[in-house]
Amino acid sequence: MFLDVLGLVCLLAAPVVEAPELRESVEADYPPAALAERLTARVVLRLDIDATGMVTAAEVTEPVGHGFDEAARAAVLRFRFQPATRDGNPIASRILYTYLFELEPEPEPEPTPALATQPEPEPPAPEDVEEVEIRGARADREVTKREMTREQLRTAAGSNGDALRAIQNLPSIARAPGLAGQLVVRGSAPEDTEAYVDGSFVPFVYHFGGLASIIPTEMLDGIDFYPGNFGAKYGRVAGGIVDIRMRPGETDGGFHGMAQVDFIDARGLVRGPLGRGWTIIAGVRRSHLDAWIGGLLPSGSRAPYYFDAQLFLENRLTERSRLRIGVYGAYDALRVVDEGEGDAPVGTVAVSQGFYRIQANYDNQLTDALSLKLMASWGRDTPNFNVGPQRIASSLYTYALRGELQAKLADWMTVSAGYDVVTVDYATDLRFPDFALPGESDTGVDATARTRVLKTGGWFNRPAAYLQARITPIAGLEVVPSLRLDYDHENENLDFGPRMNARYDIRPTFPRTTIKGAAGLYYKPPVWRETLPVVGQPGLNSDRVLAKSLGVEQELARGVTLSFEGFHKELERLVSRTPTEDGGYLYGNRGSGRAYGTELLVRHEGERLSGFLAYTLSRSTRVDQPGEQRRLFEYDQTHILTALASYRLGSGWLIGGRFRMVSGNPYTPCVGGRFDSSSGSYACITGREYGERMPMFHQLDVRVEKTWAFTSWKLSTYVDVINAYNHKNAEAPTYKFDNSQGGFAYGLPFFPSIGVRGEL
Amino acid sequence: MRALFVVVCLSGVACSDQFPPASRLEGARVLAVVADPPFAVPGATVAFDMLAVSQAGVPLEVAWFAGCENPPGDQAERCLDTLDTTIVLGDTHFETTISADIISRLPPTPGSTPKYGTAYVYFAVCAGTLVNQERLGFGVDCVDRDSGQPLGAASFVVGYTPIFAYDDVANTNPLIADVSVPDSVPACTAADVDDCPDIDVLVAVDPSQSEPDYSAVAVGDSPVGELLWATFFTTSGEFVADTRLIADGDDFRPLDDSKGTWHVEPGYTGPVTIYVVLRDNRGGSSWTRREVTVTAD
Repeated sequence: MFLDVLGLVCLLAAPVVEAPELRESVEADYPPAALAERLTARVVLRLDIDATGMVTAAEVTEPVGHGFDEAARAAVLRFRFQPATRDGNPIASRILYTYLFELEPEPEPEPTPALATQPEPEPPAPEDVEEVEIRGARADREVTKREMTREQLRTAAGSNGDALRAIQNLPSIARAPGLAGQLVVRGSAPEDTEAYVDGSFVPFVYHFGGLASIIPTEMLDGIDFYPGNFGAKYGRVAGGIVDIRMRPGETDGGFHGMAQVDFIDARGLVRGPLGRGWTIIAGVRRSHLDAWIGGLLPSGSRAPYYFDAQLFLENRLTERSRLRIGVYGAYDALRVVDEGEGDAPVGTVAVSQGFYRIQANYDNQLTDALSLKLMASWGRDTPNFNVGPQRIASSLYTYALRGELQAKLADWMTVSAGYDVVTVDYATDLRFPDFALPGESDTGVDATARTRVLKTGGWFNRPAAYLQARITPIAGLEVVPSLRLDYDHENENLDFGPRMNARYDIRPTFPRTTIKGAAGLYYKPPVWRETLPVVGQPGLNSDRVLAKSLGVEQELARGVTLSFEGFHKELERLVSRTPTEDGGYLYGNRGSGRAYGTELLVRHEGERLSGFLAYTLSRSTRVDQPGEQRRLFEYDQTHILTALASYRLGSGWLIGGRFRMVSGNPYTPCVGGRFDSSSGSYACITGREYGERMPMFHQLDVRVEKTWAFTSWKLSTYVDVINAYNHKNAEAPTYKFDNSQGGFAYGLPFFPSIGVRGEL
Repeated sequence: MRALFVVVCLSGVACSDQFPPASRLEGARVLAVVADPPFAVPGATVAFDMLAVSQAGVPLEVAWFAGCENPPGDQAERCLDTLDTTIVLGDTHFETTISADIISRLPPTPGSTPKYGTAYVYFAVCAGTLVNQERLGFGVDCVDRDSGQPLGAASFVVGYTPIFAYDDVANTNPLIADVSVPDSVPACTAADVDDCPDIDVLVAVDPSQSEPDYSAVAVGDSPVGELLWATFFTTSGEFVADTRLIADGDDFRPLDDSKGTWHVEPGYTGPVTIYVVLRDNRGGSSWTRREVTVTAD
């Protein structure tokens, strides 16, 4: 059937899409300090070109410092292009453009250098239009600079075309079990990594189980992923940061739309002008998984479903300022009747989680040397969890404010100062057993577990202020010292986080060699369940992490780069607890941990073939109480190998593949069982804590895509095959009913997903 | 994705390693220990009756170990550090008296649920000889009567039963009104037990058996309903679903949604015993059994 459709569509004529062509270029001013040092540079920029050929936006994708980035950006904003066309009709486009700053050889014996700034237009592929990129760092020069290019992202096999899910391919991230949406970054717990949408915190990034992200790829402008040692702009986490940038408004004067349906969900998107300078972009998505699996679940159940929607209005108030107002949210729900099956049943499990945000972002390039960014958001989070008669029902109203003023004080120094405030007004209705913490034997939520009851509400405020400088004291060296001060009003904690990043270009021209290093203190306030009275203990300190990294980047050939980096994190004041005679627990900041490793990344960017090979060797351990034996962290993965590649065959055909080989997660084995007569099931007699490892995981995912571009619209279809050679990957230990024998539950077998997408 | 995982699994792909089902009775098994009453007032005497079975009538040695009260975190395994495991052979009936101060000696309990105390009684059941030597952290082992070699999990069950002590909150054991199953069923001629015909085992429970539960809610709040579930066992074949929810805390499930589905062992003819254990989620339980004949025609 699928092949029949392909064959039919292949008969249709493909339209002609022409790339934009440079008509008028402007020579950039050579930065004086760089000239004095005789530095050269290659600045890659992303240009938005409207249907008249004007450059409406320019962003440096790989900052090189020394004033080159600013000079190149100022020049390309004055370029004029012959616009891209589709069947002769002008269309908006987005391209990558490389600006070269080169010097002629120093003449002998004349000491005066002759300048040559040479614009170098890269032939943009039409497919560059309307794509999204994920990168390891944005314009701020963070130490860790990793990217997934647009091509890699779009063709990332196994991600079903979902940009946010493609993050999980990046180095520094451990493989999440199954298709789970957890982000385990450099040996930190999943809750140590937070996600933001245009600077506003969101409570979850993935719908149930990681099946899809909360924002469709088509709504994204880019994703900034910081695996660690990020600058002072971010805080309250000790792991990584995912900042999602929403797509800007259209500038070509026309309306566009997109509709897509696959096995999992259906989605639609519309974008275009509203008049008076306003543009709109709106999207909606709803899963339909429940329609075809609902009948397979026990009576009284409702299959999982999810929903998300986004609406953004944008106005470029002036040439230098932009206002963006939006509302967005996501909701997941399921209801399953649990029968137990050899274990105590828990009754009806009903889980839902949702959030929405109303948000405004304002950016203003006040002067050439001064810029202002403001963000305000308000929203509500509603996590709800019911297990039989037990429940956790919460409602959290969140208020977030951010502001940053950036000033270029000199060619060699830029300073940023900002604030980051989060206020949460919460209400919780809790009737639940005590939670097991990592490292504890989990008694689960079985029917006989004893219950804690708490109805409470309140608010807490977490203001932060930061200061950051970017200094280039000598040619090739960039130092970014920063300081962040966080206050946790609820627990009365004042956390002082100095950080320092540095990069030095040993060889500034091709083949570029850069060394980089960073160190800093990071804090994560205790999570709500640890500080609520009755179930936790108010007044706990924040977790504290001293993070360090050191690495080198080397250009091996044009389009081929190598990055090698080591990291070390010392975790202190982790929350752990000890049981008490009254059936409760005493909480304290008595845990500690350590995570360290090396990351190797080799990337290739070619016209047809692009991809990367990433390998991480790491170890993450914890000590739950002073004097206890050090144990493996539950997500510790010694070896993580990911190879990702895509190849453009021509005529709209793309083929991509992803191969992963990863150490299994540690787990605490059951070495036997004791019969609990109250539940009728066998309690696990645990062996050495996290003393066993799941078997090695390896899997190949393949994606094939075909695109047909017509006069006014585009049709794509793809097949995304998970586990192409059907390897049985163990995902969790399983046991005989009495825990006397063990085995494994396995991940998805060979699983193809087919999708169709139309786009105006 | 979990749902998708379930769907793929349900579509016939083996998603986990397979083990013998809990419903198939082989070796020595403890199916239930009925505590009377399951919630006791401090100082009360509690009686225990154990339902234990063994294959081919192999005699079982039974020993009980009492004396653990209020272990840290209510965790039964925390009893093992202090429990006296000196073996005194007994039978399937046992009685113990809990301390009069099991609640009053505790520090104030956080939260507003009724204050309670917890006691555990351990037991060991052995299709050989019980001896005082450590196995898996417990000071009792089960060895072969002739060779003295340790016996495996199929011949040795160690378990525990909790006693919940409340001053003012009561619980009674839920009772089974009726179990409906044919007196005789035809033998299964299929090669695989999964392909044998479904035989329904219907469990009738009066709605009054799901008592209001005041122990899980704040003092003065409206109670929640008890969960009730039935567990099925057979001496031949297996149950397709060995545990079925009877009441989910709000409602009783329809009889058809809480029935056991039994498959006879292929080729077997003769008597079969089916056991049904009914439990609530507060330590209450009861059980019953039915004899069925599997005939050749």
